[in-house]
Amino acid sequence: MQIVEEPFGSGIVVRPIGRLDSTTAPAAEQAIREAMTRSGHRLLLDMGDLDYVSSAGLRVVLAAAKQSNAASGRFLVCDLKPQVRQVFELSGFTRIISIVATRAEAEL
Amino acid sequence: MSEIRERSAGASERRAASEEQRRQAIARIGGNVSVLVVDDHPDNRDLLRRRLERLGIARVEMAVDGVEAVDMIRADSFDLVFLDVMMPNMNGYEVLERLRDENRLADLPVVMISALTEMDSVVRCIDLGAEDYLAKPFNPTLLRARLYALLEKKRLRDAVRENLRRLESDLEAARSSQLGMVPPAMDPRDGEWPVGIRALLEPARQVGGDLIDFFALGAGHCCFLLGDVSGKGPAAALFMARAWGTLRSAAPLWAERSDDESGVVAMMEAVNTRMCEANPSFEFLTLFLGVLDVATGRVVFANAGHPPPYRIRHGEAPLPLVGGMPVGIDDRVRHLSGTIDLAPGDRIVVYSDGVTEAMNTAKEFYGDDKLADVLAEVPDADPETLVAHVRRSVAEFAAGEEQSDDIAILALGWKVVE
Repeated sequence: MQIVEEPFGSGIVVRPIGRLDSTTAPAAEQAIREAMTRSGHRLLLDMGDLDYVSSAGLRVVLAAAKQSNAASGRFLVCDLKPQVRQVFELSGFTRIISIVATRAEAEL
Repeated sequence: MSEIRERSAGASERRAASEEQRRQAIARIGGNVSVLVVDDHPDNRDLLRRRLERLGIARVEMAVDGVEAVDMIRADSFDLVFLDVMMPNMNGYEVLERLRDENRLADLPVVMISALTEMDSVVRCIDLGAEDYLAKPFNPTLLRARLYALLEKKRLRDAVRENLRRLESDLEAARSSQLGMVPPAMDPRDGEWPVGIRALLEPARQVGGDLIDFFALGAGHCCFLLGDVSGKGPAAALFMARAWGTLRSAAPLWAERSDDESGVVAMMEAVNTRMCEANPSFEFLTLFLGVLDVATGRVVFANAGHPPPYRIRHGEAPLPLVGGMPVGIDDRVRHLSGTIDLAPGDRIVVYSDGVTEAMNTAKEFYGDDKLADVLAEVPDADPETLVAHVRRSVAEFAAGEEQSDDIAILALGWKVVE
């Protein structure tokens, strides 16, 4: 899995490309955890290039949210494709993860 | 004079250095090494044996031709074989072919002994599965280097194989213990218990994170549940086993309920609270928990982020049963219950996303729509047929593509007429 990372506001935006499933989750989790630490726990996860998120992928998002929360940081998710949004809704993640529609609306 | 002394001092240093190398090599390889020397020429055999013994080989056995060598290899275990090519009765090629046909070459390195002029035959032997060759007359340094390198390689390979074997057997034991958590089928008993349940749990690896359980709650209710831990493999299996134990120990809360709704919610919340504790890797569990009143057919359920099960009724499209957030994420979350009244003959099918996210060779998902269609194909099937039908349909769809997710299916029928 390719993961693109760049500075964003006071933190970092991370954009994984492809599928976030049990195969790609370990690498993505590590990349996001490191970016989270480097960014001072201010991170935007841009999901615009993610075609699929499995429950293993949701766990990566949850781990990032908890890591940021524990450090009183800020963690946002943006640009969910319809099928990914459905997974978030079905699992109740829309209620615990801060989601914005596009990167332009995200503030770090 | 002084020149000679210097030279001999150099030689003794070299000897000391090679003695040190020998000690280190033997330490790496381990003590009880046994080597078989196969050569029809007695002088060659004896020379090689003496050298091997000097290099620290504890046991050197000898065979005079290929027939004897093959017999000895079948009867005994060796770490390395030195094999001559030209021999009476059975030559080196035939020995190699025999060992290859008996699948012994993977565990047993063979070094060909050959004159330098016979390079073609050496190549043929390597093609047949020999590991290396040693030219006659033996160069002591090359003999030592090949001997130690091959023995060390063999020792490492044996260690890897042994570790794998132990891991496999541990995981196999874990698998049977996990599958043992799924109860055997539940069958209807005349009028007083008109409930039948069939379930299928298939971890994608040896163990997985899917969870199935069903049991009677008191005399008049039946609890059935199906869950899916976010990860895979042993970590998910441990989390799944914790959830299973927690659910079973939350079952007595049912007896204290004020009504069925609050009973289901109390069980779900007890599990959620427990699973939020000691959860450093942020695993979570999607869980459908249903309780059927076996007399009235009313099902009260809580769905913690699980793919919606279907109620199946003759003449109607499968009806999904939706819900809220998974278990193990937030201990403050309040779970809600839903209610659905079954009519006689109705069935409920619960499944994990290993079904709907099964993938075919074109990397397409099986999908929710296909599952609904497939369930609609068998509107009158009993639980056993439903489980088998869904499983077969997923297998046909995946068509041999290896599946990465655990598969769990549970079907319940109420007052189904056989």
